Amino acid sequence: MVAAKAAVYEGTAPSNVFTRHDMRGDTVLDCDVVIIGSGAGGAPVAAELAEAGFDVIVLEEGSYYQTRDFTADTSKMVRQLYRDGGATMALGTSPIMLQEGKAVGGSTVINGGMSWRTPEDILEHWVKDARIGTTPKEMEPYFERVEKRIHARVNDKEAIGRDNWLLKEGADKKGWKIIDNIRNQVHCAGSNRCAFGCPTGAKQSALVSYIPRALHFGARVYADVRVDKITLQGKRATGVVGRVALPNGGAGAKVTVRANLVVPACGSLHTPALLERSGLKSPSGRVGKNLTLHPNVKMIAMFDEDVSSYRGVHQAFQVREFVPEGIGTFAAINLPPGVTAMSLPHRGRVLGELMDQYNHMVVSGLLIEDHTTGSVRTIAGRPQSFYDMAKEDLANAVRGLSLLGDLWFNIGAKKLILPFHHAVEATSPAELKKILSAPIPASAWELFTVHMMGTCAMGADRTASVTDEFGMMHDVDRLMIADASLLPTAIRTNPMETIMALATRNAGHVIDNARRFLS
Amino acid sequence: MSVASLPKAHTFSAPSPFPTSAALALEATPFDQLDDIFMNGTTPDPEQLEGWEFRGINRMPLNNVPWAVAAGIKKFVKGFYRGNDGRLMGYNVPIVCNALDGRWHYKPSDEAPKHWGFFEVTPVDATARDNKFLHAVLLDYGKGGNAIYDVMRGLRDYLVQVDPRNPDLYLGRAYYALGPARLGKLNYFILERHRRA
Repeated sequence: MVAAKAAVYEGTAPSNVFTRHDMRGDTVLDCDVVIIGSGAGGAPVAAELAEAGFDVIVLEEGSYYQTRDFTADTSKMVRQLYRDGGATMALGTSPIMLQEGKAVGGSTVINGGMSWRTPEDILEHWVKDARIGTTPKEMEPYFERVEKRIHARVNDKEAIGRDNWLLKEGADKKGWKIIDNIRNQVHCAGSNRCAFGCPTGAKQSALVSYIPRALHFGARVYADVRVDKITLQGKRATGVVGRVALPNGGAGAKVTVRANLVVPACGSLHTPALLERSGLKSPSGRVGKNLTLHPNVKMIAMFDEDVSSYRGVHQAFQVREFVPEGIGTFAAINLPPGVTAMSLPHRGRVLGELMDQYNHMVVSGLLIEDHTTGSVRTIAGRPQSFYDMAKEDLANAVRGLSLLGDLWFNIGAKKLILPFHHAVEATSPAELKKILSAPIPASAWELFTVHMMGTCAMGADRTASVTDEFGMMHDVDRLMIADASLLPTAIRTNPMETIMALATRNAGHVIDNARRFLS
Repeated sequence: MSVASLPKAHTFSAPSPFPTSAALALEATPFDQLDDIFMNGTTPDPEQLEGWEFRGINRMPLNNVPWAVAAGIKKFVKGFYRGNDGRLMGYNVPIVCNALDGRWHYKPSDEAPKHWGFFEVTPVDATARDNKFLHAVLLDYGKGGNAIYDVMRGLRDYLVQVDPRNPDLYLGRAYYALGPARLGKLNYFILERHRRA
């Protein structure tokens, strides 16, 4: 049986994907472009540049998994696919749990696949405030190109689960604006496992869209490589040095890549840390500053009926009624039993009894648009984020929970489980109102996010931004950032498509100036 | 002060003999604001420099102390020309330190100006020792052919175009090379298109 399994798997990985098993000794590689990170930023740059004829190497700290590796073993998936096992935290008055992917494909492997263009007013705001050329008209072809590559579309109706239909019923009853969600998927079957690796391959993460395209055009992907620093000659980036990341967390053989262009695409936490470790300073002093998070809060609604939220697509709809008020979107988001149990404030028998009712739960969340910023500092070579929730954001969260609670009670929810440590349940609208109208200690909030943005923001002003409008770091030669850290502000919606579109635009800039970057 | 708030300068084709209000405004701008303007300048186009002389005004750290005037270096001229070997080169001309908004009178005379303090103009090489500002061009007096004992050999000026729409106005920032060390910033200087070289 073991032999048969090995025979099936043997030779099925693409020949230009390398893992720790291929790098037992020190390795030195040469290429035109080295990209650090393979997620929403790195993968599009890799595909675009490889297609244009550049010799591209992608380094990824996480491992290389394929669709067949994604199972219902949530604990194993979290350990394999999430940085720090999903236990990263932003420190502040209300600690916020941060989650990001660590695998080939980056966070696109573990996100819900929401594919929304940057709101036009945000793009216009960037044009005016950051003085960059990202007008809606300028960005249009890049959004179109990305949407084509990742198959951004609405879900098949028959794949939508009861939890999402309940959200729609509630919003319709209130007369609130609710829209079909656009996701990067091809006939998603609705196994609701997006956050733990799509087991069917329907979700068009970078792993199954951009990375295969990059490989097809000759890019090489080295998984299990942790980059320590960018090498420099004066102020010119000349490559990177790193180590093979061993399963026990240790460092293996040395990996050196020499390149004409270095592209950090490690996300908003690790890109500033990499710059810091490499001794790269911005004239603006803004590396690691301007962190925005789209803080999320969750509310679980308990129904008498069997909802079985694990059946159906992830976030089929988004309630957008209150976006103008600074409360981003409401959505139904299924969590598997283990994760749900871990996130509940209950204990012992009560928790057991509650989890007995798992099939009656609808997990919902709301996204808050930041009115403040935090920072990422590098401590002992690793990033640590700091973020204090703004009072108005906490007020928006209270208002959002009140509205969401109304929606659920209005369609028959029997109980709500709240994101507070001091008041965990509400069984009636009156009780919810009482809880929400009393002062809520900042430390009582249970907050989380998967949208870390803005720590190497673009801008024309070298004294106020880290890169130019194409991600080229100010006052450093041949270093182009391509990830969420470029976003000058929070964007009020899921950032994956924005990151991909900006990365595609950055890649176009390199292609248009190939002679300059390759000389 | 920002670039946008600078008064509109004269056009490229008809340079004025007097400093424009834009140049004088820069001269009166506090040092920390000049830092911002310099950092947000654009890379000069060498073709816009070649074959021209530019009126220069030194902007010292303590602008209210007239030591630059006393030393006779408040006003100067920089000229740019293409050397026989194809390199873009430049020179300085001493100027009578009359009123700031007065005419630029060459020393010792307008008819026979003294050319000195020669330099080479190059893009800033990110990998070289003098790589402080990659968006500038470097005026390297060490490569200007100045005499070995000439103190000018140590000067390293970085020059940026203040406003991308105005190729007549430039801002420079001076450093001094002492072996591998760089002393600075010594001062800013403003260059404004003056006349054909």
